[in-house]
Amino acid sequence: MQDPNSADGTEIHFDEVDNQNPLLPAPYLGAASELVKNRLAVGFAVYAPFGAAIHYPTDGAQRHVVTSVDLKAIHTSVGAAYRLSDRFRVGASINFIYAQLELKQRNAIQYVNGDPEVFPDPDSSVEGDTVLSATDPFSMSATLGAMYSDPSGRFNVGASVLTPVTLHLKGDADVHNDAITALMDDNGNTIQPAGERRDSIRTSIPLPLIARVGVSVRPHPRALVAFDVNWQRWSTFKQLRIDFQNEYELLPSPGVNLYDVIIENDWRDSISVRLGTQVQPIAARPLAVRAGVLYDQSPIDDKHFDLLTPDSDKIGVGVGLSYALAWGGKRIDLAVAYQHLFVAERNVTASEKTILNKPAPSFYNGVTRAGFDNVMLSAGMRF
Amino acid sequence: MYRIAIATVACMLASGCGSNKDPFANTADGSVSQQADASTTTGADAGTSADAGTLACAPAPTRLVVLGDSITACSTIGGINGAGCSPHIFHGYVDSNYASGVAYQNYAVGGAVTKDVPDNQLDNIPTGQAGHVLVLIYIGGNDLQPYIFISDDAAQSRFDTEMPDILAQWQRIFDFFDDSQAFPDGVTIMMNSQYDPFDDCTAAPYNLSPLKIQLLGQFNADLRQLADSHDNVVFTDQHTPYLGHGHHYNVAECPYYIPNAEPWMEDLIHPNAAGHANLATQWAKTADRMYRDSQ
Repeated sequence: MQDPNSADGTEIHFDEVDNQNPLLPAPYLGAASELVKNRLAVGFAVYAPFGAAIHYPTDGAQRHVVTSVDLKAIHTSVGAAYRLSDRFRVGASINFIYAQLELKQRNAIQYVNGDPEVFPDPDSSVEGDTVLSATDPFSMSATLGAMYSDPSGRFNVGASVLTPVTLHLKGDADVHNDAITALMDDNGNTIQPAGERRDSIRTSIPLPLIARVGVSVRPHPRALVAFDVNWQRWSTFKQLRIDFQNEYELLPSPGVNLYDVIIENDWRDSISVRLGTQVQPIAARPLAVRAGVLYDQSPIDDKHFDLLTPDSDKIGVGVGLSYALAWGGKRIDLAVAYQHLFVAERNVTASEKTILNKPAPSFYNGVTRAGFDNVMLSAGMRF
Repeated sequence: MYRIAIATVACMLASGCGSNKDPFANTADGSVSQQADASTTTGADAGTSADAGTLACAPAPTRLVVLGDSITACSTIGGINGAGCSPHIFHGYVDSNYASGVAYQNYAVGGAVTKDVPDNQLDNIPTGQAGHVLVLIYIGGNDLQPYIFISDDAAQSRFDTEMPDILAQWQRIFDFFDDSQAFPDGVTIMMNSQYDPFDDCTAAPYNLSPLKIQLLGQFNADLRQLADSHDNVVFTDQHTPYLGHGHHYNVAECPYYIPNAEPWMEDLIHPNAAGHANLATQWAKTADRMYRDSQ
């Protein structure tokens, strides 16, 4: 892009940047027990259904949007399933959610009450670091489900609903920049030193209602085909508001203070579909071979895309194996799977995103390419 | 003939002391000619030739009233009574040299814009008291500060929109002090030009554009013109002496670069102790010009 501060039309060139944290573990631990044989089962699980751990260069073109984001959402679910009849089963679970968010980005005093578009690439000497960290120790959602099975066991259809929940995160903003003056009280005592400012923050992240419908068919006793459709009501995520509690001044000058930041998202509802199959190739061997494909629609349009949530439409392909072992009278299930997600390229040319509530399209326009490799290893024991 | 000559000299002296404005002061030419002066002098000397319209033979004050923003409130240098606070230094100078026992009443507030002076600060000033009042007003930096980091078009548009109102706010200030019942022994008002933290220089990392430098010059020229139109107002040029001591004090390519100049900035827009000392020095020079003929 052209440097707005250049009289001779000098171009600003930003090098390509890559996520520097290629590995994100997503552990899962669960157990289930049949309390009443063929009638009532209970279970629990601890898992992280979504999260992020993305780190970018601190001198890259994206630095004023994000240099790193770490989001953990740990769900602890307890549930029960009840067989109403040979054909109908219902289940419910309560999900207790612990969420933690840490966002880091570079700041520049020019953006506080100035126009970011005038300073698309500030000198590093006037930049500083912003760290926002917040936690929601306890939120709850619920899952309700039902399933119908045909008497022969060749056909199942099920549906479930995950209720929406809003995560209410509270934490701190820690802003460092050499331009920040000391914060004094009326008696001239230093409340906060020059060069940094801390404030309490609050933010809310709505997790969507998710409705799922799925069917499975056994065309052969050793083969299973499953298909499901998920609908996510992401349209509830209209905006992300970061509320600064005290809005401390950065300089003793009007408008040069910490203030609430509103990020317009305007996400849309999205759909994902999955198709999978499982085959037991050898009747005498407890070996299962699996393969599947998926399509996952992104709730984010180009105008609201950013590298905080670098999501895009995805197509996934996966394969897997599982094998059952007998060990000391117990059954051990071992499984391994691999999935690759092809993520549609984003070429944003007319972003409507903002920096500190001010239009800043050039900070978001650009090409983003992403891909994910998921490796799953699991071990289960039945006793 | 001898008598005539003596009478002529006496008449000239009387005329000089009674004049509203210093006949040797610079004209209201904005910052351009003053900048030229500054570039050829040392930092310590810069501005000595840039005295604006000066009221001669002003009455010695019984109190010094200070109004303005964080600079005169000394928000970043220990408060209004801090040792490095420029109005406090100036008060000491006036007290020592021209008005022993002059009271110091500083009502400046950090973050104030021009409108805040008539809206929030004037009411704090005791009225109806005997004695001449010297009022030091340093305001305007916060009106201009939002222009620093916005586009030229937006800055020009805001300036065109806001400047008439800023001048109107000054008229409210003048009207307040023109009340002879509130101030029976009169008021002398000291206005100021705004210094440029960026040395009237377009340079990294702030890259203040030439247009914004021009707008600051226009702002200062408008204030100077306003001061010149009032008999009881004196004007101190704080812009010229500051050149070469702002953020780009060590950038040789800047037009007012002074080799080995002392930096006067504490943060993005506020002066450090040396900067405050310079502000006080310029006010002291104005006081010298005001009171020299009455000594």
